[in-house]
Amino acid sequence: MSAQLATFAAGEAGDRPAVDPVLSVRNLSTSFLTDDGWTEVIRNISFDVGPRETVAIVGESGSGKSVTSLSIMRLLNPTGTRISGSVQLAGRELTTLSSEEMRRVRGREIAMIFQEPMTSLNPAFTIRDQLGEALLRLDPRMSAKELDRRAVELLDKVRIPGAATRLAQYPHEMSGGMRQRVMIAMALACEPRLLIADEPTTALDVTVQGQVLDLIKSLQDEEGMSVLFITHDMGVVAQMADRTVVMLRGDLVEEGSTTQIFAAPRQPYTRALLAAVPVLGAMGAQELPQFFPLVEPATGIIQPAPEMPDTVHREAAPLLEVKNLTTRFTMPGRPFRKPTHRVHAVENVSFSIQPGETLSLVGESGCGKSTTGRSILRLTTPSGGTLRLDGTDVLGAGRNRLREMRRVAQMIFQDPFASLNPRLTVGAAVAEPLVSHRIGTAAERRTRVAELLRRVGLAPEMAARYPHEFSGGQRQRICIARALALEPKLIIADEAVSALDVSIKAQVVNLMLDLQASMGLAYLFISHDMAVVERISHRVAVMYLGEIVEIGPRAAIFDNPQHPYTRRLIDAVPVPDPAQRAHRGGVASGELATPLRSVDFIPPQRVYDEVAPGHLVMRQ
Amino acid sequence: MLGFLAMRLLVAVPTLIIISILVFSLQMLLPGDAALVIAGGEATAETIARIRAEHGLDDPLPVQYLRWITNALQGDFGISYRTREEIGPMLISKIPVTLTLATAALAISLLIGIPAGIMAAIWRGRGWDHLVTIVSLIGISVPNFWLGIMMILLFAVTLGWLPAGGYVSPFVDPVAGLKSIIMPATVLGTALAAAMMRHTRSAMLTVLQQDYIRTARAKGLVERIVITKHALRNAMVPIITLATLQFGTLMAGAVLTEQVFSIPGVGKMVVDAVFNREYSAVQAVTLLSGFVFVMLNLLADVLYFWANPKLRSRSL
Repeated sequence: MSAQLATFAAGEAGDRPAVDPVLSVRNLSTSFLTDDGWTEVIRNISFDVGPRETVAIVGESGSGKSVTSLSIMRLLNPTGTRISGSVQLAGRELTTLSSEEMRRVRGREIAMIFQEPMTSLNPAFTIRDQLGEALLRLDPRMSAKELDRRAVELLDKVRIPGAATRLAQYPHEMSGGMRQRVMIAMALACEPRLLIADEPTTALDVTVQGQVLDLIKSLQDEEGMSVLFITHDMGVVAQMADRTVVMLRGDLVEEGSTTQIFAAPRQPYTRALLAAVPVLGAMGAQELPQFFPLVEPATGIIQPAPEMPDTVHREAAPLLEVKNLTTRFTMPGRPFRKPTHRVHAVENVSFSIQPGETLSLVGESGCGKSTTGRSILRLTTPSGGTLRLDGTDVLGAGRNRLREMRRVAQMIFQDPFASLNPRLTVGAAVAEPLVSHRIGTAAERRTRVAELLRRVGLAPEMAARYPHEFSGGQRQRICIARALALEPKLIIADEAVSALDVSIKAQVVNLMLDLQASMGLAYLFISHDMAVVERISHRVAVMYLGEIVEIGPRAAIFDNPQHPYTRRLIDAVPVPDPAQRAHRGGVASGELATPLRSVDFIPPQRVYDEVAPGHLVMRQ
Repeated sequence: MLGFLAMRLLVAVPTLIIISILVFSLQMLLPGDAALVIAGGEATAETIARIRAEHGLDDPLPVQYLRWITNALQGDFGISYRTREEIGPMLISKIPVTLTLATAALAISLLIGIPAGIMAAIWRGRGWDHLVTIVSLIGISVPNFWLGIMMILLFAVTLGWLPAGGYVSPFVDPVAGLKSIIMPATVLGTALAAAMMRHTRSAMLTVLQQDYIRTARAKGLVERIVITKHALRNAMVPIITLATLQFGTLMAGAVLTEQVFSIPGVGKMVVDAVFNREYSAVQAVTLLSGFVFVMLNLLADVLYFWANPKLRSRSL
């Protein structure tokens, strides 16, 4: 008997038969009930996730990748959804389980973490409460003391510093990265076989993203879990996944090992997707900004991008001159007491922009890059410094001068959904700056709107439609058209392409470059996305805790970063190449520091060293 | 949190002072003055002047106000010209009646409104939702006094189960007390329940869309816990707001209902005082309801702290 077993075991090791997958999805189709009847949103999706394997589902918005994961979990609203096909977890069919049996599977055998750590935890309950609930699913009779012990253990496992003190905290007392760690801890509570991670790092800062990805990887090894990773970010895919499933508009386009998908994509769409991914360091010695090569999704043929002309007027007077700009916000203190703390959102920031030049402000959330942009247009009132825009002193300007000045500089924002009034037609939205500055007659404005829409690649007839009829990329084009209405010389683009899909992002960046080439626009490009910044910028300024730590020509910043923070920022960007997986030791758990200071804080005098012409680095 | 509450209490003081000034100046808006009422229709100008001097009605307004408010703070609102009763103790004797009625009515509003609202939100757009919507629309539209009269006709006149009116304190005689309060409380409570249900429904619909509800379900929690713990706690803020407002309105006197069921509460006192031109009594009741509203707002603030932990750490 034992001999037989031994032979069997040996035979198994020798032949390496296919291991039974943990999750096996076959012909999964999901339909939603809409006004036009049942509409299929995903069609015939089939893939496996093996033990300890990480499979990534990658695709753009509307590809059905999240619907796939929610269908597996059966978390979609049962009345408006129809699911067919088969989902097997370790050989057990999930689609036919009763809803009570399926509930037992959730959390216990398949756990899930979501994109929005800020909203995925219940704001009304403590971390102890929310972790405890998950732990009680293991053993409903667990004592309060045991629950606390296990909860601390879990928080330790996800490398949350000071775990014991965190239990009594509420989610709003933690940063986004910490909340996502709590979500992961909660998911691990019942030691699931499979973890579904739905865009778990998309909302996080790049250095925090790196930490969370590392954490998921190490936990997977420690716990022996399988991971189904849903993302739109090819860099994350390359770093995390053993195998990759590519989805497009509800269909599975291509499936294969991650190495193969990146090295030799078979389908045109995969090729298009990969070509649109901004790759850090792809610019090499190229000095000027560069268009993204565009790929026809149907054919996969790459259209060569035109060369970008040199648009910078180096000898002209600077279009924007910012000197020692400081913006602080006083925090409301305890009742009857003087405020004790201030946020030093922007501290002693100086830079200039030439006509036709793009300066990028990069940094992570809370570094003050958006406040800098808003301060320049006086949407936020700076506490000190001088600002000269096209020769006018911005801070000293009265109401009328300020109005005039805002014709020179316009702003576009991150969320194209929220920055268009849903009750105004697109035409009215684009014409609004003209109306408010009393430019032209109604007929002239209509002509101008048509011309602006054409300029941003939209049809003039679209002026009569409402924003909800447009996609995210189109809406951002509308916002750009609106910003162009007053023929500004400077556009402040605050995370203007961050919310867009890769291919759309590439198109909008190309549009911005195109406008720069044809109209000589200057941009202050505020972004956390290093790869896009590398494409679009002439010069780059890196901000950290309200201060510029390094500023210089693009090539100098990316090829020869001097400040440790700049290096950390560049290193943290996931490289969309599986061969270059970052081998980082250990999992860092650093929190982003905050620029919150006590009111008697005196900011240190900073000294900048010029390491190369125009390349300044803050001395430490 | 204590610091926050102390501040709110301090803010309440000027609010109450402003209310009292408004209440005091109400009598200035009315034609004639108290002296005319006291003296009666056939008094001579001299008599009226004497009464004015006696009651200090010739003094400058600030002096009159200070005198009035000093007395009011000691519970002295003067004497009813008609019954020669002291108004302060009279009002105080009415408060327990109205408080009992208000509490019972609010309890009915909450007990019907919250569960119905939750169910309407869960089964949104389906049979139950429509049914609850229709019923609550009827509840809002039907006048209180009409429903009261119909109930008296059915339960008191035809069936003889309940008394047609009057009030017995449930602390004195629980059975008779309950019997006397059940109809007026139902009449008031059902009307409020309709609004409560609408508010609960919309608050729950918003909360059920939130990411953390999906998280709770993904954790494999039973749906009952997802709804009653995770969703309801977050939907509490608008419910608290409405409940305190409803309670305030009830405490100011359910005028019509108290009249229909001849309950000797604050509401009935207001009506009687208005008909008899008893300015001092009207002032007393108005001041009381102002005070009640301010206190209820304070209570609402405390409840918000419980429902929304974010508020607790707002002051750094």
